[in-house]
Amino acid sequence: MNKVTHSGYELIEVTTAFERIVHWLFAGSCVLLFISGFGLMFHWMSFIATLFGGHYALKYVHNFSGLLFALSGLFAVIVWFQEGARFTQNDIRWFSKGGGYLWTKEGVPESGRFNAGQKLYYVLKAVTWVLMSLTGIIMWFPFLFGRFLVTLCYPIHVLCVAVLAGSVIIHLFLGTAGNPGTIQSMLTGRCTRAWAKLQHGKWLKEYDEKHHA
Amino acid sequence: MKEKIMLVDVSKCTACRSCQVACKNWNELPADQTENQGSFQNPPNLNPHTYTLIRFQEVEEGSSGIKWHFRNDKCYHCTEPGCMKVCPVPGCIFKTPEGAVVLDSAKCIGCKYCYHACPFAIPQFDDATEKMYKCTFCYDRQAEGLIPACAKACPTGAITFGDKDDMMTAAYARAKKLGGGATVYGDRVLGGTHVMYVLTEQSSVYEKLPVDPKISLSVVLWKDILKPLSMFSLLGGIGASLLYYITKGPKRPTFEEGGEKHE
Repeated sequence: MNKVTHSGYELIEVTTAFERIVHWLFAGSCVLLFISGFGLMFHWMSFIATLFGGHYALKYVHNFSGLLFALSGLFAVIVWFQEGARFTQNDIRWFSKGGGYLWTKEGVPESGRFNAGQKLYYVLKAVTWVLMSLTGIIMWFPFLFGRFLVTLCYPIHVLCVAVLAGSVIIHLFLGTAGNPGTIQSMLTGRCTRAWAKLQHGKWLKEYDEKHHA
Repeated sequence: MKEKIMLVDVSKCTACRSCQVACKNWNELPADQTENQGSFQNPPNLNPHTYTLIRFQEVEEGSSGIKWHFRNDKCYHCTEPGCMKVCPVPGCIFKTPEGAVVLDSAKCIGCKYCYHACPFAIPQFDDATEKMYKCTFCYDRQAEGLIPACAKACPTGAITFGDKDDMMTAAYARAKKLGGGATVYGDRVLGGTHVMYVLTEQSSVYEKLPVDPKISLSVVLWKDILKPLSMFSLLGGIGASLLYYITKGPKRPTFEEGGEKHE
């Protein structure tokens, strides 16, 4: 076998263009939904309504970005199902080490293209996508459904908000400031080898086997 | 401003519907073209331009045949209103010191939350305007020292209006005088309603009158627990991220000199 020398700066493609489009449609709808949803839920955040042209407009911003959320979320859930929903022994070890983020940096198993934390985020998003879409539609057309079902939807919808608000913020942090270089995977799709080695060592090995064998 | 109570004494109601007409008149609401539904109740239910309605209920009685129950129905103007608890628009549903719960339809965005949050399902949605409407307790008349239109129009004294203390005393005195199963309805539910009844029978006898109306557990969970929790989650996420960044710092890749060897 030939010895190949790689620079840490070499760029390799980690995501497909389709993945990036799906990601940003889904992410964009989520951000709009969060902003409009918080503007509708908290009276002291009425400045958000003012920004969008009033509460009536804000309701429709929320409803129609909800449609985008439901549609793009369908693609997101399907596209990342194989990698996101399958947990292995390796992932349990990853969790036991807090992913190297919290109490130790040692002994964290190398990750595939999705680390265990990202898989957990996938599961959270997939479950809340189903619940949010269903309860959202029912809340949009409350006269088509019974009182019990409709009133049940309100707390479920907001329970998902409570689960998502913190998770989305942490996802934003870990994808940007917390892990420099990561955002490139969702912008150009091409990251440095040094980044891949640090963040997704197992995936990099598989990549090299495939491309440099 | 003193808290006011409207007392509806069903024993005095003759179902003349003066209240319905007076309400339409004062609020400039159009008449409804309705169909015969086999009942004198007309229109068949509250609707966006019918804020108050006499409910006609026929009850069969063993020997004497049939008995009527006439009940003036409208917004109860709760002290703890479910509609106001869920309304997303500041100032759209508000309370007055007299006890009126007013829905300012001009501000309504048609989210319809209030309909299911109201234990009596009072607010009515107008498809044409995409807004909710309900009884205002004639708070505009009250501001001018007038009593609500329905109470003003009632010829038999079935609807009376006055200071809370006086009306409470009057309600219990009347129920006692009527005797039998006569009860007072409203003061023990939803923090006390500002529309109260003297009923000639137990409240369970009357259609569309919940015996123990409550703001549903779902609404309480939603507004009192999960809503603050979602703000806590948002701020917690931001706080945890900032704290992590300044204590542990980012996880940076290392770029080795001369590149990495790979077989």
